[in-house]
Amino acid sequence: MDNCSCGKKAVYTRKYEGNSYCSTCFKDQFEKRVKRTIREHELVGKNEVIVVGLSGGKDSSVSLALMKKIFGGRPDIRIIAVSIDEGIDNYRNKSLEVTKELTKKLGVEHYVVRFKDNLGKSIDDVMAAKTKNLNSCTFCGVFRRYLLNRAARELGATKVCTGHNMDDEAQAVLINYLKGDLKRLARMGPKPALKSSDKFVPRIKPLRDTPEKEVALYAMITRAGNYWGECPYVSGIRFEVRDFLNDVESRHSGTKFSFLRTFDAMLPVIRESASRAGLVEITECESCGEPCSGEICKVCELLDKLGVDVVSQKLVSELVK
Amino acid sequence: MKVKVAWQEGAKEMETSASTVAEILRELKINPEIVLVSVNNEIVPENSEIKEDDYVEILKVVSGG
Repeated sequence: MDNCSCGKKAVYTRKYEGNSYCSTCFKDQFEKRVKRTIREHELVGKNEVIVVGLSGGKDSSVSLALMKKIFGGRPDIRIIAVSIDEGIDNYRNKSLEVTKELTKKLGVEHYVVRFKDNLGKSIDDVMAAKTKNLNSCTFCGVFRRYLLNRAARELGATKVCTGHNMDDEAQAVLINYLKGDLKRLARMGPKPALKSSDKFVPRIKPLRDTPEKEVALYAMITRAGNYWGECPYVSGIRFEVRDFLNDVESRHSGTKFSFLRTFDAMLPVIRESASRAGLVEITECESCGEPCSGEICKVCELLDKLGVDVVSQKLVSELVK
Repeated sequence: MKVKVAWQEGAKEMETSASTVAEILRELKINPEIVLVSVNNEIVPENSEIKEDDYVEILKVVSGG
């Protein structure tokens, strides 16, 4: 077995660079990379209120722990955790317990926003109703992003921080290529797209340059995240793409890195093409007034499908004590 | 050689000709990209050797939603 360059027993080998690390050196390297991502892309400035989306899984837990570690001592930066409870029995209720323990341990202000309180339906309700042509991941993703943005806006946030890692990003890029979705591709990248709306809180992804496996290892070493449950409703193309990318990576180390780097390098051209095609305009939904890229936003479209008339005017959230 | 392997549905003893973690994963047809492995409760790199009676725990680390 390899040793770390410091002489201690290695716990991990980064195949794409050929170096092995003990747990202490791995942790240092991991944190250095995240700080570099934040610095290089200027993800955090002065006087920020950062809402961290916290599910209780390894990625968001690590993201929150690191934001607190890096910026917790800055008097001009306030960090708040927001958890979205989609209402998935035996899964989200368990991970929410983990979020409560973590925010208590870190001393971070924490809010929970529930689908049921704000949309009238939980994911379990939606799945039980077996609505035609409705993918649970689509429904869940759209409403989770919507509620997180609304919660962040109401808390006066200047940024929403998510736990998306390099694997998530590579998968999303490939899915958007496969679907020919230039509009979504143009909105991706390390920094938010140029045109936006005042109602949309810009998102940052400090783990974007870090492979998922390394986030998991960091979570284990630091005990930042210890919930490993899987959503019972997962489905869709993402999982086929995930397996494909991991399959290629296992035979050709560094594939995910180079794929994402190439995308980043091409991003200005993609954004230019999308802009020429009029795909980056942000308008306001004619029905609810939230930012969207068409006449009616995805939230209203889906609510209509589900037979829900209105979304609560005032966001209902619970402050965790 | 006999080792105890924990993967998904609990731990079980298995007879193997593998001499490293990577070879065990190959034998079980598990992509190393999606797991972390501990041997006798210590996380180890894939090229780590395994010996008779070792306890090999394989933890899936890719997210499922």
